[in-house]
Order: sequence, then C-alpha cells, then structure tokens
Amino acid sequence: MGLIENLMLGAQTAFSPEALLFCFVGCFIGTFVGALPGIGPLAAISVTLPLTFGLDPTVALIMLAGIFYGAQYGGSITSILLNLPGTASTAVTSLDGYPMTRKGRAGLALFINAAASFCGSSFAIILVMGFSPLLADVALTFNSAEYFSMIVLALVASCTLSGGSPVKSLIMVAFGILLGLVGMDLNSGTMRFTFGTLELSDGVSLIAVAMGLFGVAEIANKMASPSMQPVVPPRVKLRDMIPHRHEMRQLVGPVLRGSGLGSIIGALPGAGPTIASFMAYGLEKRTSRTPERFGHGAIEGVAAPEAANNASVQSAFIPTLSLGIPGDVVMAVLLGAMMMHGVVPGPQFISNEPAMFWGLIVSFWIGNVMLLILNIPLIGVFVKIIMIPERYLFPIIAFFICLGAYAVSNNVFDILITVLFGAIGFVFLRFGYHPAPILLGFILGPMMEENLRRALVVSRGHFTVFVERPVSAGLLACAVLLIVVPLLKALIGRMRIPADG
Amino acid sequence: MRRLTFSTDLAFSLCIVAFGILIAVDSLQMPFGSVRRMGPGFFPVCIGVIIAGLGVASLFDDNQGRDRSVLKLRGLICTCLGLIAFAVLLEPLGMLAAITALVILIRLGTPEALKPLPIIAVILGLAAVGYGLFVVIFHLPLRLI
Repeated sequence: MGLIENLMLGAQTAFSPEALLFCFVGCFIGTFVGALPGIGPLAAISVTLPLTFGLDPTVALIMLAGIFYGAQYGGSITSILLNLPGTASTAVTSLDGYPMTRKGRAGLALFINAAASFCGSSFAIILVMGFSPLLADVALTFNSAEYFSMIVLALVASCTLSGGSPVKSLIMVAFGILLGLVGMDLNSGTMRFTFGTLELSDGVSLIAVAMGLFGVAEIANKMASPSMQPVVPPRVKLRDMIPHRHEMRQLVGPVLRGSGLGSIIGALPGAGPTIASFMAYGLEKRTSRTPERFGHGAIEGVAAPEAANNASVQSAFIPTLSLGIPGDVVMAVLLGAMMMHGVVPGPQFISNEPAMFWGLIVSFWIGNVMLLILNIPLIGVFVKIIMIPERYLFPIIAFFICLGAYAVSNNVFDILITVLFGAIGFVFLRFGYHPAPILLGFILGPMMEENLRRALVVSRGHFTVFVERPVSAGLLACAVLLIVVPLLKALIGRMRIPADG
Repeated sequence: MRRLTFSTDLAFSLCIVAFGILIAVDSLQMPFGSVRRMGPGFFPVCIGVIIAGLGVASLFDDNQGRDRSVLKLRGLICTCLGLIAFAVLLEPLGMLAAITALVILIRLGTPEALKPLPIIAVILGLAAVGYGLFVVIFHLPLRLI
C-alpha cells in the first residue's frame, strides 16, 4: 500500500470521535503531569493504563502516547516560568528560558517553546513514517539469534549511553530481568520465585513496580528535601508572544539542528529526551557566533533543546513499533500496555495491524496540533495548579498511585507490591542506582530468554550460532565495543597521568 | 582503582554480590537442563552469576551518583504506612476511610503542622474524584463507605 493509502487508513482510525476524545485527554493529562514536578509521564501512564482496559486497543495507545509527548510540552512551561523543570528533559530549557522570564519576555519564550516543540515532533513523525516500515521489513528476516543479540545490544546501550555508572545500570537491568522471570515458566510449567503465593504465579505487575519505583520512591525522596516551590507566580503578557522577523530567522538553524539531533538520539535505546535536550543545547552553544549570550536569555537556548526533546520522544517510537524493542523506559511501559491489550509488538506489528500503526501516526499529528493550540491559553491554569503546596500534592498523587495499582487486577496485593518497590527504589536512589533500567530489563528479560532458548535448540547447543550470522555478530560486536571502549579510555587516562608527572 | 575502605557503599556492593550468589544457588534447585534444551533454571542461574560479577565490579566504581545528604526516613515511612493503610482499609471499610488514613499519614511525613480544614478538603475532594472517576466511570468494584 502506498503512503497516501496508509495515511487515509490511519486517518479513518484517528479521526473517530472516541480516538479524538482520548487523544485530547492524553495530551491534556500529559501536559498537566509534565508540568508537575515529582510526577512524570511514566507514573501517569502507569496509573491510566489499567483504566484503558475497556477501551479499543488503538484508542488506548493513542491516549497513552499523548500523555508521553504531551509531558514534553508541559514540563517546559514550569521550566521557563518558575525555573522548576517538570521533567528532567526540560531542565535545560530553564537555563535560558527562566532568564527570559525575568527580563519580562516569558510570552516569547513560551511561544518559541510551543513552536519549536511542534517542529521537532513533526520532523520526527516524518522519520517514523518513513523508517518504521523499512526497519520492520528488515527485522522480519531476523532469527532468534539475531533477536537475542539485538536485545543484548539494546540493554548494554541503554546502560552505557545514558550517563551515570554503566556497572550500576547493568545491575539494575539484571535485577529487572530477574523480576520479569517471576511467575510460571511457560515452557516447563515450573513456578519461579513465587514463594508459593498464588498472586505471583502470573508474574509481578509491571504497573505496580513502575509506580513503586518512580512514583512512591520519588515522593518519599521529595518529602525528604526542602520544598523548592516559588511563592509568587510570574505574570505572562500574551501581547509580546510573537517573535520579530529577525528573531525568526535566528531560530531556523537551532530548530532544525535540534530536531535532527533529537530524532537520532531518540531512536537509540536508552538515550532519551534528557540526553537529546542537553546535547542540542551544547551543540547550539558551540556553533553559535556569540556563545556568551547563552545562560542569559538566548532564544536559541530555548528553541534547540525543545525541538530536540520533542523529536526524541516521537522517534523513540521507531524501534518500539518496528522492532518491539523499547527506545526509552516509557516505551517499555507502552510495550507492556500493547501486550496487555493482546497486541504482539515486533516486526510483524506493522503488517498485522496496519490500522493501529497508521492510526497512531496520524494521532501523533493530531495530538501535536492540539498541544500547540492548548499550550497558550492553558498556561495560566497550569501555573495556578502548580502553586498548590507540595504537602497536599503528595497525598493526591499517592491516591492516584494506589488506585492505579489496585485497578490492574482489582487486588490490594498490587498496592503492597507498589509499597515494596517504593522502598526498594528509595534505597537504590540513595546508593546512586537509578531504577529506570529495571523496567527495560523487566520487559526485555523474558524475550531474551525465549530467543536464547530457541536459538540454542535450533543450533543444537552450539553458541557459535550467535556469531555465524553477520547481523548477530555485528550487533554483539557493537555491544562489546560499548563496554570495552570506555574501559580502555579510563585505563589509558590513568596511565597518562603518572607520565605527565 | 580506588582504595577499598569500609563504607556503606562497600556493604551495599557486597549485598549485591550475595544476592546474585543466592539467586544462582536457589535456581539450581530448578531443572537446569542442558545447553541444547534450556531448563527453567538455566537463565536465572546465569543472571544470578552475572549479578554477582557486576556486584564485584561495583566495588571499584567511583560512586558519583551517591546521595550523601543526611538520611531522612520520615517521608518514606509515612508514605509506606499511608499506602499500606489504604490497601488494608480499602475493601473492608470503603474508600472514604482508606483515603482519610492515606492523607493523614502522608501529611505526617512533611514537617509542616497539620491543619484540619485543608486536610478535610483534600479528603473530601479525593473521595469525590475517586468515586466519580474510578467507580462510576471506570466501574471499579469499590464502595465509598
């Protein structure tokens, strides 16, 4: 089918009243949750996921995706106005966005934010449309050994590319893989790590774990630190929102560079909107002829990271929809959502469910347009809500976490799992272990085992099967390089220091 | 290579090594199978060994992301107690009682003094939203009282 026919098919799905309504709901919740510091799109998606069980799977995905990219729009609002980034990926925007607010140019900063975000998203959506089907076609020729190697590379890449200690991230991934193994092994019927309880025989609930690690642990952490909320909200004048002509010309380069960089980074597993926005800012500063303006209200400093984080969030769908490999932790939860709705992710997804795939793509366009329009008038509303004192926000968020956990299987056991992982997450954060890779391991672990088993059965126990096929060998070689190269750099660095004296 | 000095970081890394070994040993109780036909215990044993190995590697890590601020457990304890109270009270006593316990316990986790009026407002608000959204619209089998 040609592109036009695919888009018409998608439009049919995405323009239905139910899809439009839930796209709006998702974008609204996303913007709101993105603006709230302490609770992010991950927690919001986890809480709303069980509530989507009654919906058509495509509509459910449209809404959950809307929460994801909507959060990027929302997080930047508080970043610019209050110097309080709602999400880590919008922290960079405050470097130049907040000085602009202090100089009375908040309206312009918000406009640039909305416009750059829209451009970044649009650029990435075009890439998703083009690359996902191509990638899926290539991946259809993969066998179990290649799949296994791809998953290994994805996990290693997410640990080494995301910054922080690779060893600690790998430990988190391994822990997540173990969690994914809990329950009945489908091949043999053996119960693994269930401690004899009936509730665990189906495995640990992804949502309960996600909300514990990212919701409860975050709340507990925030309660331990002093409140950073400002007392006086800024005033925004809508009059000076539109940039001057020469400013618009200045913005073309940063937006294009940010979109391109963000799209590439978002498609890589493990590298997400946070890295994309930081790198785009760094790139802009380095390529600018007047880098000293950055940090004091340079408009490029708002445009580039905003284009990048929105682009990365959309392009994260490329590996997710075409290969079934999550490009981001939130994508891992979305994959879990797909599986819960009975959709099998992987290269056959696009050919098996073209209406769902193209419906999602068209809904991205619709959602981004909605967000562009929503952003401007609702700013006042969001600022008022953010000013609610933290001590009342925490019980409210905890309530949604509880009901979200309960709603998975109408069982309070899942709430207790959430509490347990909240405590575990708190301890991990304390020791410098970031829990995000746990979810990646949780989703990919069972897939890894299955592909390993199949590959070994077919090759009758010979491990050479993983290096015989060139694709598999190449993927494993990349994974090895990602581990070895930083180690070598560190060792060479240490050897040089004594020589310099 | 960092000099190994005793610290909680060292203890935590050793716990990870111990955990990995424990998992590997425990998984040996399940049928291991052979390389040609992996049993249910094969993969967990491998992961357990990998965790133990990574735990050893983490002993030499430079621990940059470590939070060294004063440990304040009040927030964590109150949040956990609040959630547990919610879970325990939800089915026997209904949503209103569970929400009351949740809000009061979590509010105790923050240092500011308790003020009855805003707390009651939050409890009633959440009960309304909870009932309206989760029971009426999403059909969760919960009662208010």
